[in-house]
Amino acid sequence: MSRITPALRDKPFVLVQERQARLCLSALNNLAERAGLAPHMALANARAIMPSITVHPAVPNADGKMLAQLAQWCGRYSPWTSTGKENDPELSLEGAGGAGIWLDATGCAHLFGGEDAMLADMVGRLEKLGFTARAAMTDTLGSAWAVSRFSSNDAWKIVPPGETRAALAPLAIAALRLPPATVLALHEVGLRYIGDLIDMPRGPLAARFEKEVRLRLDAALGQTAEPLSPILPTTPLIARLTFAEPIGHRDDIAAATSKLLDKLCITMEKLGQGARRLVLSVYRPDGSTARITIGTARANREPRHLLRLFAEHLDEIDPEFGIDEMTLFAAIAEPMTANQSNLQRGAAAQSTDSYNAVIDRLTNRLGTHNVRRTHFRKSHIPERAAGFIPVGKAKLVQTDQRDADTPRPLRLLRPPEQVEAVVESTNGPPVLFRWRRILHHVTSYEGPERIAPEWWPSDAESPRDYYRVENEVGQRFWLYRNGETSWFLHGVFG
Amino acid sequence: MEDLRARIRALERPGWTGEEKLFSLGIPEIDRQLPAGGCPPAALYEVLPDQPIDASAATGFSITLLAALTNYRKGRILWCLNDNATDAGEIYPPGISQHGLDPSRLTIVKTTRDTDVLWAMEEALRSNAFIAVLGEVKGIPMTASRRLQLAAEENDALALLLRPATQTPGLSAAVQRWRVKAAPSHPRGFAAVLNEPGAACWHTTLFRSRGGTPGTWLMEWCDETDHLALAPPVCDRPVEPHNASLTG
Repeated sequence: MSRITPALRDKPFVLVQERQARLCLSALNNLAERAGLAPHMALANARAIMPSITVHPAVPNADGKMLAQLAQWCGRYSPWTSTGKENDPELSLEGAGGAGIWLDATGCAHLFGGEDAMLADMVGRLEKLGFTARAAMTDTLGSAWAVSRFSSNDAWKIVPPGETRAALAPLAIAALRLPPATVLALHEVGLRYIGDLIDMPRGPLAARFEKEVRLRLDAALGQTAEPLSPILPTTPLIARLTFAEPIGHRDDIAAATSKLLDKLCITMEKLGQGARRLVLSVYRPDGSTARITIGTARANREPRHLLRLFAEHLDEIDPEFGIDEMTLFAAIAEPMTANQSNLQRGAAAQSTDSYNAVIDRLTNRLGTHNVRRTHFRKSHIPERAAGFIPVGKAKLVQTDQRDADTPRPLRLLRPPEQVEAVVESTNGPPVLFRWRRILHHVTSYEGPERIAPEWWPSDAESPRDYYRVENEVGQRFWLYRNGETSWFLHGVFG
Repeated sequence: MEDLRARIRALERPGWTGEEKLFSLGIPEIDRQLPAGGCPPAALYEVLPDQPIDASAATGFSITLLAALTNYRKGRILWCLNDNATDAGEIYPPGISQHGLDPSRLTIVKTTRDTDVLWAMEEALRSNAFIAVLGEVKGIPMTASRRLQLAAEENDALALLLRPATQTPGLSAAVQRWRVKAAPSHPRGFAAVLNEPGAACWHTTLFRSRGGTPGTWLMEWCDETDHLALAPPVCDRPVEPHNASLTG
């Protein structure tokens, strides 16, 4: 809120929310906190302590949205970010210490010149955006949450591996992400600090208090797993680029993309990986972000090819007032063997490469389902027997394609179109039919060819009697009778 | 004269070596009328139906052209379907196979816009992954056709535009422009006795041929031998509907 009205920054300021028919504080700024106000306090009590506070109604959804946006923004530091909502919905926004974002920074810090520099950069940038942020980097999710909110007044703190226990011990029990009632119960028996709990036997602890206490404690200490993202990556394949001056020109964006691709492809080559899906994110100075995702038919780490795939979409990025940072992340990567020299490969392999490359370009612009190959199925029903399936789909068994005895049309109407037809005898061929408002006189015909429906669908239609007919000017059609009198045009011959 | 022609060619086409491999539709009469004595495999072609209903005949002729190309060189073919342009259903692999073209060579692109088709055609030509690229387009500006012609020449691949019927096809850089119209077939043998349709017949008009003269031929495509031939000029078969009493 104070981002929008900077004047509020220097005044005690609270947001209120109605809870059980009372107005309670849901969020407050530093000045208000210093005066002794706390979340969940009734507004009347707060006014009694500090009559001068500025009050605004809280808009929970707006906060949530803002937080989600910020989590996106944090993508510049690590591809794995979370608002924590999925992990525990109640505590992510409200509760002690306010809202937070989790980042899995495994293997990311070196991009910023170390963990310390990364956190300094993060807090500094957030401050520029108008947020008061505190950061902590620790071994586990739970301890990061605790240290960032309950530790000393430093803007950021790093707990080196293995020192989690020591870092947590002096913190208040509320730092374990426990509901206020549980915290109160623990206080009543004289347990005030996490240190008091750490060495207690887990059995009685679980019996006496809710099992949440034990779960949270073990998670914070790293004794049980609490993953941030379902997949714990080894080293994320990510490259980043920061600009001294925001860039906005399309050519600059393209050049930056090319640079990122070069960087990432070198990393991927070292690790023997190739990208199947790449996400290019741009970050604007106002904290907003935009993304482009491309996919490839098979693992690839050819910067030129990948750049061409991106080039199709670069126009979709609206730089607005400029872009100050870009990251490129291989969201899906697969092991890929080392490139062999062109000398050793035959012309056939090269043609396959160029084929795959062009298929990638076509699918990225037109959509995977629009680039297809022919496909035959074991079926008598013409529309089922042959067609096209997306190129990327697994190869199916090809059945016998050519049955020279029964003529098949060059073009098939999907679905067949109903026509008005005149017949000589009930079971005979049409002598006259009208298709798309044009009347055709049949001069010769071949048929009928009876195609029975497959027996397994419950709504099976009646058998079709197909005729190949030619009209007086030589145009040829494939018609069928369904039931007694309905006629359909199913295809046209060359 | 020949020397002069070759020199002009060399100016027109970079990388021209003076030797050109040609493929043939299999009809000597047509080859004789073409400037080089055959069809260049790296050029832009255009096929139009005479009437909207002749779209299938035009498709048949296009496939025959592509099949003739695959007799000359093997490789993949890209076919850009565009329902807004043809409006006659999508191509059907068994029918194509019966028409002498192996459908497993085909890669299909489905779009509904001319711009996407032209873009896909050019990408495919420049990729060197295809020997031929067919696009169903409604209309094409001269510059776009020039681009395709150049891309086809430079990358040694054939480009084919299959367009809907129009009386005003506009200008085009295509080396050959064909108009195709279905013609009554001439059933022979048993087919004639049973009054079955015979082999497909097309009235084909080469209304523009770069460096050559236009011409009109009545062709017959025989599906038993995968063979294209000129149809016998005499039509010995009545063209009235087989039951005139119902046609009032």
